[in-house]
Amino acid sequence: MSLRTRLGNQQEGERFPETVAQWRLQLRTEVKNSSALPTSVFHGRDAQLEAMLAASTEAMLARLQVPTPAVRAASPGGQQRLEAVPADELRALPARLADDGTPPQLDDHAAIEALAVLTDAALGADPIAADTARALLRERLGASPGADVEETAARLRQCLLTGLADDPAVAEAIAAVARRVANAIATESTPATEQP
Amino acid sequence: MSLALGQIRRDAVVAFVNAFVVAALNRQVHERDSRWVEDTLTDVVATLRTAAAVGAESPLLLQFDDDRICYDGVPLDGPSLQARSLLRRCSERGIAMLAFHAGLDAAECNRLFDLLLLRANVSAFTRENREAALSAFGVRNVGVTLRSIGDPGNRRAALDPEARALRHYQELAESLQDNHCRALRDLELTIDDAAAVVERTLADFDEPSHLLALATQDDVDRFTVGHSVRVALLALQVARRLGHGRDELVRIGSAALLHDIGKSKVPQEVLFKQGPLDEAEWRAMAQHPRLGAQILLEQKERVELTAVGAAFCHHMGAEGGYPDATVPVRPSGASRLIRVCDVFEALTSIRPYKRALTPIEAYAVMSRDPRDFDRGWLRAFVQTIGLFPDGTRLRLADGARAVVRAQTTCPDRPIVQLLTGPDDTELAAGQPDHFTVGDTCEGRVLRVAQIETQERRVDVPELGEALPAACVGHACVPDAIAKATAAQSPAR
Repeated sequence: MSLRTRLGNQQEGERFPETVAQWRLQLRTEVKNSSALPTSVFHGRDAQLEAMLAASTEAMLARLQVPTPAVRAASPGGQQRLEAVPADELRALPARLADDGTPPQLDDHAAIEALAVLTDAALGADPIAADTARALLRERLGASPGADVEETAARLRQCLLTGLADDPAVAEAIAAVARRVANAIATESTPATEQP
Repeated sequence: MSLALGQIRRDAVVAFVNAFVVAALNRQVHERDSRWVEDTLTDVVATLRTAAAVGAESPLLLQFDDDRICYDGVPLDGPSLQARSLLRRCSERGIAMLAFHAGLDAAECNRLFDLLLLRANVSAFTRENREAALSAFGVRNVGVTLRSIGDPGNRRAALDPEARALRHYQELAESLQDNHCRALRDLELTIDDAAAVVERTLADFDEPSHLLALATQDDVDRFTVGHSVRVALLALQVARRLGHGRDELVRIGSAALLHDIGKSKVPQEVLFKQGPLDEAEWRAMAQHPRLGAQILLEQKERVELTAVGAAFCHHMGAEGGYPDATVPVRPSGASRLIRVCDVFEALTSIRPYKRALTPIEAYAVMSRDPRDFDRGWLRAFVQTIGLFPDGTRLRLADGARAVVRAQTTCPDRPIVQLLTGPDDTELAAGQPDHFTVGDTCEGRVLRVAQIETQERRVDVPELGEALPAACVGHACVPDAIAKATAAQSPAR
């Protein structure tokens, strides 16, 4: 008797209790038939055995009907990848995490990150975000509307190059971007919006 | 009935409650008759039928207190984590219990949500009006029991640390849900509210174990909201151990909470796709950091540039990552920390396409390429959370079972509580049971041989050398043992 087959769809699933009751009855008979002991002796030795066997197997089968939350989250095909992590990699952890004496700080590179992200937004974001980014850049670079474009561009370029490896192509690209931003700042009429 | 069958029924009920909470969340985010609402309502009906099929009683009775949804008198913490707004609405309506009959269908469930979630219908649940309201809305398969007159609801939150932790987690999740919803609709975010919630959470963060324990619950939305809440809790935990002040903690906590706000603009069919993304979908997904920064810059309310930077940079390594910025970006320390927390959370949680790694495996993966993660922040993270975080179940080299109760300054030497003696033998009554890994106990060195999770056993080799110890942040070993013993004595 295949419980899984019979309960293969939702409608069949609704008849679960009835099916289990029938199946349990059948299982009790099978357990008794499988025992080498006569029925009376079987009952006499352990009256609970058949009920326990039936209940346990019932539970195991029923378990198949209700996936755990983790399994529910799995893809319909049930294929979940597991990244392989060999023991050697675990052994290597202390060496990989060896203390190099430089405790991290939350504010490390914060100013440079802000300028780069604002530069990106000033040139590519939707109008409102771009306006805000330009206003914040103007404030951070100390560039009032109408300020000298070349001076602002040089200041921004210098900041954006901080800490980068010496690469003329990158330097040139950053210089071009800085000039575009400086132009945008200079022609902007909106006042700075960084709130107090 | 067997224990196992009881557990199956309970799992089925939890699946139904999860579906109900998700459907309520979707009703609050999307249009009433949208595909997203329709899909989740279908799930509610299917899970209710499954619960009935495995023998859960009909009607299925759920109790609603101020903080949690309960079944059969037992709180369901997992589904309750993101049910704050649903619980609040039930509380406003004085609802103590909902009884779900198996005949409930999706359309009727949607009408129930009209009654439960729409502000205009708060008064529908007066004692005299309840039956008429249910009838008028065509809700016949859900019964409502109101709180008795004078019942103040649940006041335990004021007293119980676990309840307070749950409330904080729910508030973080609700704040994030609200902000994702606002971002989706191009409304002004409530950044100050998010910061205030982080600040309130910090007030109880001196003992974060309850909060972190909640973070291991099976959340209804582990991919966005649940993920971000956990990332925020991890980032706060690391920053707090390093001794940062309250203002800095609020700043980092808010930035971590909002780091994925750009996902609210990613099409849901991409965000929740149950399978590999194609190239176009991947491009859409890879825009979320830039979209997040843009959303934050569009706010009239003041937004810390830490949050803007973290939204933009949390997928950037020292080299590589995304988005492809106009100029090279050097992520700030805050963004680097949030990146470590973000990836750790993703690696150690189950996703539709992958199984969960244990923390030690996640650390190994994250330390493979020094260009991926800032080593300083990764080390600080490991020193805070530990190689074997609190609650991890271990098998020791001598065959004893143990559970991690606290961390020490050495991330590979947590304090464990023995659950059994060598070779799984029973512990003698009165025998000391709290030890530090690496210590000698009755002539043998306690060494971790295996990590045991619900679905896997992971062998732990001898590490050879010790991991770098933390300079600050954890209690000294005797104090930590005393604290862990006092806190966990009934746990065996």
